[in-house]
Amino acid sequence: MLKLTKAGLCRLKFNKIYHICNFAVIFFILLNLYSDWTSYSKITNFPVSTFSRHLFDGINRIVISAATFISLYLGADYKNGTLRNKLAIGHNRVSVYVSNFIVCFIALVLTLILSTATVFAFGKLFMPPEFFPVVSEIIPRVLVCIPIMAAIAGINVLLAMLINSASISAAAAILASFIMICFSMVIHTDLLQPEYVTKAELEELTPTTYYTGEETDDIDEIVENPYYITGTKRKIYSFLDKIMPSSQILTMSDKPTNKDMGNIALLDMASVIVICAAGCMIFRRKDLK
Amino acid sequence: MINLINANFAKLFKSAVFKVSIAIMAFIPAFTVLANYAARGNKTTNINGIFNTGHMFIGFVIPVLVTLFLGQDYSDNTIRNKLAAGHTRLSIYLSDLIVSFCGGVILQLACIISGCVFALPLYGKFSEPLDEIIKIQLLGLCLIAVYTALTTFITMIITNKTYAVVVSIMTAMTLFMAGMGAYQYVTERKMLEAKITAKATDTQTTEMNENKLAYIIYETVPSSQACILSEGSVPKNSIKIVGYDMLSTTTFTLLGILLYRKKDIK
Repeated sequence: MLKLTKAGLCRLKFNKIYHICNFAVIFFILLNLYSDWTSYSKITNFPVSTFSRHLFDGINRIVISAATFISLYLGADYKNGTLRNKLAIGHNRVSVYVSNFIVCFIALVLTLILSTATVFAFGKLFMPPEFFPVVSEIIPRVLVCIPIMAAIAGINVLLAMLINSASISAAAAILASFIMICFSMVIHTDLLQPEYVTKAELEELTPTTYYTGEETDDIDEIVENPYYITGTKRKIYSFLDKIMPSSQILTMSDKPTNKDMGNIALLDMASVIVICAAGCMIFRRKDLK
Repeated sequence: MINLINANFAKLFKSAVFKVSIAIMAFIPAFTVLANYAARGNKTTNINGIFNTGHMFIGFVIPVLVTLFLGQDYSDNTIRNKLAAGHTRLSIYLSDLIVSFCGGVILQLACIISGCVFALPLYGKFSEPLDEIIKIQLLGLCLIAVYTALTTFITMIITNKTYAVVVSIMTAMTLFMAGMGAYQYVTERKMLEAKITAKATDTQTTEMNENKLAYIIYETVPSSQACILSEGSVPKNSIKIVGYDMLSTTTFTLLGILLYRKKDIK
């Protein structure tokens, strides 16, 4: 397995798709930072919360990049017949699967380091020192992203190894990641809604729905927030918010407690073990043609 | 070209991806109706826009369907057979485009039928006028034409099916994000303008800085147009939308034909 991992890492070093994906992640992070920086700097100083948001928004982009890279990288194994070569020279299917997972996980951790370093470098260069966030606060949250990256790698490796066609696995993985990101943004925002708001805040929340064109004097009156979720829907949303990797990354940008971070790390490690075990079991019986 | 179209239709109807796409497009309105009914009962009139739910999702379904369907020609080398049989590259491109467009229309039809099947028994008849529904659906066809032309262009230019899938999905995602962002910006802006105008006296002026790019994207990008159509009434700028859509469809098709004629098919 060590040989397979080494070979995989060597291939990764020269993989153009991986470098393009990394470049795209960095490009979008810088684009966002720059556009926010230019608009904020005109009004006031760059707020610390924006720094944290950008860091984890950037990390969330790795989800799409991972889906693209892993499906193409592992799909090439099927397409070129290298998978059969690996099996023909005596490697067993479990070691092939696990080595692929390890290589993809390492690739994602490298991307995570790269994107974090980019945001930090931008912060160090352009942000006033008093607004630069406390590193000791941010680093543990970034470290929790490592098990999240493992979970993302686990899901994408499972898809790529179980679907023979690289194009179908790429389509499935990218669309699933995109839907997961959109869905997690929706449920995360919905869960953060306060139960009660003032009328002014309500109008601010939903200008298109709640603006009636009439002047109201009692804008400070506290009313129930119609967007606050209750009952079974809240339970389902909370559960999905806890288990989806992109939601976990969003949670990291909201100053989570140590307990939350620990829970996320443990949950991800457990899910990686379950996903890999299931993947190995199915892959062992798979007809590779 | 008729032979090619016939053969492509036969291939399309047998395609598993096409069947899955139809199932997805039929599921969306069904889910919307049932979720709406479970949450609010039949007290709402929002169900009127059920035909338009597919417009948002078709932007993702068409790229996947068209790239996998047309990309198969490259991976199976049937494209060389077509050329060897004497068909011109122009007729191959156009027949692929026509069949893909018809596939997109069938997907939208699946959405309409499913919407009717689930909404009519639960909510009775729709209260919106029939001519409005037809006009919106015709505008929807323009969106389908843009998505089909763009995806056919990508698929015919990129020889590798997997890369074509990735590029077309990424393009669809970019268009979706740009369109949603522009739609949100312009809608909020219109609301704010209405608010300021209501508060301003006759002597006050209501000058606001505008992001012109957002307004351009709002009218030209299909995903933003889909949001406009989902508002439920025929938009005021419908002529502009049709014009922009026809322009983009023609541009992508001409560019595609031009590049495809010179393409080295290995």
